[in-house]
Amino acid sequence: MSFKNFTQKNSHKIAPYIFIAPNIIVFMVFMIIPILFTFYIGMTEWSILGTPEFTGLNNYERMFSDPVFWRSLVNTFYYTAGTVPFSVFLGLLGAVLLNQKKIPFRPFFRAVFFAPVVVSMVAAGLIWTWIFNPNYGLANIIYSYFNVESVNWLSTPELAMPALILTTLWLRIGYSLVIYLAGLQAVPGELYEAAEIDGANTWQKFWKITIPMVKPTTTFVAIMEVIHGFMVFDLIYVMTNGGPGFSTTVIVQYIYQKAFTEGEMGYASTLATAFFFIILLLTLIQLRMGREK
Amino acid sequence: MTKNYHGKFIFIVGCLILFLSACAGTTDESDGAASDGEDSDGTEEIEFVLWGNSEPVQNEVQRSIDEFEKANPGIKVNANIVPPPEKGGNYYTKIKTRITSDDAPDVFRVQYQNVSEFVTDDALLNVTDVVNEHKENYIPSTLLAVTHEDEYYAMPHDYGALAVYYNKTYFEELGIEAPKTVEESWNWDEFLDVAQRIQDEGLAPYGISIEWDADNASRALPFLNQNNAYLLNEDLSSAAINSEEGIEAFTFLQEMYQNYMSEGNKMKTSEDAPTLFASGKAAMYIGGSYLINKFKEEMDSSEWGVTFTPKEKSSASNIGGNALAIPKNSKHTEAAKKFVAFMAEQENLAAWSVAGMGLPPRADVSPDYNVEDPAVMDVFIEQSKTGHEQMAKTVLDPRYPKINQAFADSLELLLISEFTPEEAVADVEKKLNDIVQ
Amino acid sequence: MMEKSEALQYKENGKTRKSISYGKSGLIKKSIIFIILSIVSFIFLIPFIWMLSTALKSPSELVASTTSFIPDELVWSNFLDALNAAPFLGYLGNSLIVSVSAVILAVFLNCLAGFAFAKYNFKGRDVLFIIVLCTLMIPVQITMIPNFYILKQLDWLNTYAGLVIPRTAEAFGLFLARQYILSIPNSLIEAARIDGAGEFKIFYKLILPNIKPLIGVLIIFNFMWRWNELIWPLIVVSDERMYTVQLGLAMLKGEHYVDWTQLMALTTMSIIPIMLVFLFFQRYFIKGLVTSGMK
Repeated sequence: MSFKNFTQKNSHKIAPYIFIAPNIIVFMVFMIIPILFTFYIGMTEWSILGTPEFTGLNNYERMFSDPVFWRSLVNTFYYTAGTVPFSVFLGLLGAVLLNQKKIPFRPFFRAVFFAPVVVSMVAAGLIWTWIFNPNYGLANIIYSYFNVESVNWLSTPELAMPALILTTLWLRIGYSLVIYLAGLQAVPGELYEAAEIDGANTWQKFWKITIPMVKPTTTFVAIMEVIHGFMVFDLIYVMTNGGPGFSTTVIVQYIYQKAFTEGEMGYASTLATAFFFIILLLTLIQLRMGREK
Repeated sequence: MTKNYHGKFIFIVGCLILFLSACAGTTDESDGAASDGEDSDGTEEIEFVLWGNSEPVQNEVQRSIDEFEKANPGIKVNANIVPPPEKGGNYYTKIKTRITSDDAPDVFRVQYQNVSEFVTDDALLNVTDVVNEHKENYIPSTLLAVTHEDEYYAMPHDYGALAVYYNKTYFEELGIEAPKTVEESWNWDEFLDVAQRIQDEGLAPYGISIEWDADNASRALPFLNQNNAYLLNEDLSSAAINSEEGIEAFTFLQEMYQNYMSEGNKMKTSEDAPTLFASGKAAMYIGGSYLINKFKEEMDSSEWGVTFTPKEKSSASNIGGNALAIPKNSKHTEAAKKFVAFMAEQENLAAWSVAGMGLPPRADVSPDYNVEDPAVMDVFIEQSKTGHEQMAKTVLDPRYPKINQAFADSLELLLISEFTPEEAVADVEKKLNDIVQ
Repeated sequence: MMEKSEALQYKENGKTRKSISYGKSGLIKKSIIFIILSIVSFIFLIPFIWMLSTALKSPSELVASTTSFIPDELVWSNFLDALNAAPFLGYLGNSLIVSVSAVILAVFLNCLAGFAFAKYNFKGRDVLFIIVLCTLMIPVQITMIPNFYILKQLDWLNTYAGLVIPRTAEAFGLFLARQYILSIPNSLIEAARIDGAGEFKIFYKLILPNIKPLIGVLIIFNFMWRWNELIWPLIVVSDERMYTVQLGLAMLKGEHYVDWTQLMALTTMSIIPIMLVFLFFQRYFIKGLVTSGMK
């Protein structure tokens, strides 16, 4: 009885704990604890069949002298740098065009641009692998039309990453476009009218009004795209598996490869730990930048 | 009122959890029955994990299971057909994790090159008594693959070798004769010359295609052996690849890939090599006999033939083929053993070989292959006898999976010309020494 | 694509000087924009068309020496053959079960926790919330190795529970929910409390009806995430009977040889459900993004 009284009296104090409990428990069990475990396993040598053997910092030594690790970091940045500016800029451009008044079929265009966003990376990867196929693919038709020799995008070291970036742009531009469309709604029309009276042309209006006014949107979109860029896995798993050579091996895929294909749980965890701290660093930088703004 | 809503909340969450555990439960049941023991009516269920996506293989699996169940009323076999151990399917990782987490399948198919890794980790059941029944009939190299300290840990199920499929139409058009015996095999120059002529005539964009990938880099080993180059030295204590022979072999591989093969046809494949051949885009195809099933279906029998792989200083072959193994911590070892023994019976081995177009692991099994030209299978049999002992020792070593990965990584970089042959050889040497020393 | 957009800016640039609110040049400008949009949207549609075209080709036409955009004859039976060759309906069923239950659980739990984080003062709130926020940036891959063993300990490998429950704590969803619920005036909640409503009743009767657009967004997002996910099923599932659509597709590509007509047929079928969700909820989705994603 007294317990019941207590709970009733203090329900607004207890309630939030109950409300967050399921979420927090899942977070703890499948996020926080695994991260801590990853730190530990990273200091062991562990092939799946045996038991983990503590080796201290040996794995880190190995990591620093592992050229593929560095390569995968470079590739991760390459991929991110190759996708983020384009999808942000093209998304904005598309949104500006779509935002013109009285463009016919506007909802249709919007739907078409956004449709790839809901397609899974696996499906997109398959479709584009097939498009890029040098022997039977769509690229073939285009090549024969222009009478150039066929290029094997996914098997040429210099071209594989651009091919992945192209695929990503198809997948992601719609996302930034839709968010920009929303952001543009918030720009007051009077600003443009005032600028027109001052004789500004469209280009000036775009640079002087649109871009500054959608800056918060740009920050948001850029962050989302960077997150996406750093975590890309499915697309590469399906399209190149990190090849040719290691030219599209990104860090996340390298971790997966080490852990689940080669069974080196220990070293893979070392890589995961390193990646964790890289992300932490980036997040801190982002927060700092957000605060300055 | 408050209580009422607390109740509702608990009710909703409870429902969700119940729903999910119910979902989980349904799978647990089917799984649990497979791994955890006996059903109420006393039948034992065993799980047989294998790959094999061609229709004849799947039919044969079903047929043998039906027969086995008829003969052993107390045992039910569940075939779990999964993607093959290549192109990132993670076949072995999954088997290993299931074994370590005490959720082992009861019987699984395993390539010869992976058997000893499992054995040294003490993961496989000793099946000496099953193999001993026909010990003298097994082909020695297959037996070697499953032997550890004079005991047997898996049952050789099939074996194979790589040979050269060639496009008969193209060959006839150019008047090219394919070698008829191992002795007549082309040397490297002659082999590349054939490819060159076909490409020059514009018959096919690619002279050569090969069924290899990062998980099966061992399929590139014959090319080393053809020049008497080996990955490791005699007692497998250090790398032996950094030699004149090794560099020559690597140079050949690079030249062959650069000039005569589709760019996607490397270790990290993005190309379907058999389809290249079947569609006439590649004039020759180096692959195992199991692909006959595909070519029979997609090509006319007059369109393709099979000949021997080239030789330089000597002929060579890989060790292809698979065994059936029982994890030590299977919960149904006796039933699993019965099943493996059943699969090892003469007529079942024969039927298996016919279905998968593989070679039987035993001399006393003579499958009646359903091919128009029986000489085709003879090529594979003859070729399989050319394997080098030194190569076999390496491939059957427990460290081979690691060696394979190192070799595949360097080979990939060699093929795409990121490495010169000298650099690639040095790279492999360094990585191999790290592994074996 | 880049060239196109540059050309486009150029065009716009040249045109606009004259275009200040005069009807005629405004019309020209609109037509140009319309044409550009048409071309670009056609480019965006090409991969879909190519997928369908491949799915409907006969295998022999597929590998024929000349590649064509439109199939000579439409082989609808590819779809049936594909369904027979792979237990794809089973994959679809698994994906549906996983996605739908994950949506229900995640949306409910995220809103609940979001409500607590937004409207209650309790010890540890800020610390917990920051921890949650930090995990927003952490990819599954960092935690997948231990998670694999945790799932094993729970006996959740190859189960729906293993596929669904760990993914219900979606940091992004929780973040959105908190931001959205913050905008509900405290006075409403106080008033309800004075009326004697319990805490869960407040959530149920007051908060939920007020955050419908958010719920819409969360439903679509969660459905999309779960439906499209590869890496988590890749870790959790090894039994083919438990394959999800994406896992099935990725694995089919790894087979000995790939029949691309069938693979594209399956890809088409894998996209249909998510496209339907998108088309039905498109309005809601974009409206929701405007109001909630933009904080």
